[in-house]
Amino acid sequence: MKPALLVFLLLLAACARYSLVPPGSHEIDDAYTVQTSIAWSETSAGSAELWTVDGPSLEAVRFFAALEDGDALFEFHGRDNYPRFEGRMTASEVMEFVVDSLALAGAANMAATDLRPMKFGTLEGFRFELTFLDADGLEYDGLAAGAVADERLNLILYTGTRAYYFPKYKSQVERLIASVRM
Amino acid sequence: MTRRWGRALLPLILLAAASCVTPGGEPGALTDIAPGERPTLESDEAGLWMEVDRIENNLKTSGHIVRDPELNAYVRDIVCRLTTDYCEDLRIYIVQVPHFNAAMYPSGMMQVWTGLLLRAENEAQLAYVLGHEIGHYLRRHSIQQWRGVRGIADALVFVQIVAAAAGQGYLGYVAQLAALGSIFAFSREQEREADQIGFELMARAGYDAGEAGRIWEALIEEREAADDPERFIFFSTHPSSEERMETLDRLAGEYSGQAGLTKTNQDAFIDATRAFRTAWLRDEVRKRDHGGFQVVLDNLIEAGEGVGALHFFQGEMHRLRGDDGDESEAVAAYRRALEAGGAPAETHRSLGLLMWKAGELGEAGRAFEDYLAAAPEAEDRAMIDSYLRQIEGDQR
Repeated sequence: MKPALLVFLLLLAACARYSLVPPGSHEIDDAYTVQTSIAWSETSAGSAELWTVDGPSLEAVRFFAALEDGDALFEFHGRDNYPRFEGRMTASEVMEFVVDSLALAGAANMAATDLRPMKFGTLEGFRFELTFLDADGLEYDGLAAGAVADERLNLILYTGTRAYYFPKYKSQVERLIASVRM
Repeated sequence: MTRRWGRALLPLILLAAASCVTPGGEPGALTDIAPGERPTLESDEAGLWMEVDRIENNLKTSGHIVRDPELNAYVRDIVCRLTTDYCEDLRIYIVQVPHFNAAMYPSGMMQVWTGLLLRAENEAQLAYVLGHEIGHYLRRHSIQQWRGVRGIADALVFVQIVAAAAGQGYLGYVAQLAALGSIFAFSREQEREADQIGFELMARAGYDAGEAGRIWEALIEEREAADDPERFIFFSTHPSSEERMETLDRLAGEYSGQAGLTKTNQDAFIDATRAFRTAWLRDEVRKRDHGGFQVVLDNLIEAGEGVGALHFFQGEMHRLRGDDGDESEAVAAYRRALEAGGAPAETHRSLGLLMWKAGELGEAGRAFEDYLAAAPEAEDRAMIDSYLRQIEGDQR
């Protein structure tokens, strides 16, 4: 596969240290827990905890926990202006925040679809789907689920290549999301 | 031009340098590149072309390329009318990058960024920018610059490294051009020469030469309003904007007396770009450079095309900035958008979100209902329905 995807993915892949996430229950930054039935490799990616099996440019689950006013989804080195979370965001605005962040990180032809209410643990949350191209024109799919509570954002973002990798782990990610406990 | 275009020129410079340079890189008299000319394989210029070809090959598969055949044919047709003899030598790529820029590489690859297509008011303004870039190509300015670089071998390695930046999204393209521009910026004399050629090409094609200065003025105004002017890519390597303005005014004066140079082709330009403007405006608002975007919007609103959508994006800019007073400015802009007509259905949704946060539940509910009426197949219908249920509950 061609190198590429998003800048942050490349940087992360290049220098990140990984540790094993065995099957079982895992706490995400004291904000929520998830259950996994398979093993993942884990690293940190900016403000996110990133899990992957085959490599973050192929598929990656990013867990964001308790983002606050002014926090960004990714690191935009050298830029002063980039999308920032605000505690009063609605689900529509969180989707915009995610889409704009991905676009600024390098995704092309971003499209978000099917924004809908969905429980995130015990919280009233949301869910939406994503499609985009990377800088090499490779097609990606994604999904995001989360909730804003007490002006803090908890979010799970899954992205992967439309061919093979996104569908390969999608059901595992669905189970992760369904397993969220606050 | 050339500030932004200068970065793109880097590779061009490299290529160009190689083209007229004797094997081994010895300086020699540079002649204009001839139609169909390619550097000889043993020349150092050929090595430069090879690196630029690598950049071009990466670009061909990029997700940021605008592949619409009609838009590509339109831009190509302008280029070919400007320089018929070199039409077959130039390969044009429209790249979806929300910055004003066009870039001519020495091998004949030309990048036209969508930020330029959004900001140009008519075909004559676009033709000036393209003509200027073609001027650098014809005069092999890139090669001249390349030959002036100390340590060509080191510079070539630098270009190879920079080429990899193209794989990192549109910010990669911006970084790539900025990096190349840092060593291959054109001289003022080359800029003047390219402007002269650009004006000659414009005049030969019958365009109104006065349009060149207008797009330049708008660009300077945008830079001054930008939230971070130092990062304004087009000017980062070509700081002599005032001097440039004087050159354009002088050239416009020289050509304005010639009969028949009145063509702007504004209608054709708007017809060719109308379908893409919403996407390009969305790209701009995503940059979060609110000050610069305001100037772009003001200029487009003054031009008068698609005003409803432009007011919507003005509202989006205020909503996303969120400073004191922005909320009321956003609401006013959304209302202007709806009054003007042609605003996207999302105008109702954005208005509803602001009203909801302001506690204006009745108005918020009506705006969300208007949104669903205007976009019954909306992808976020389920969420908007949930907002309406919450509002209804809060009103009881």
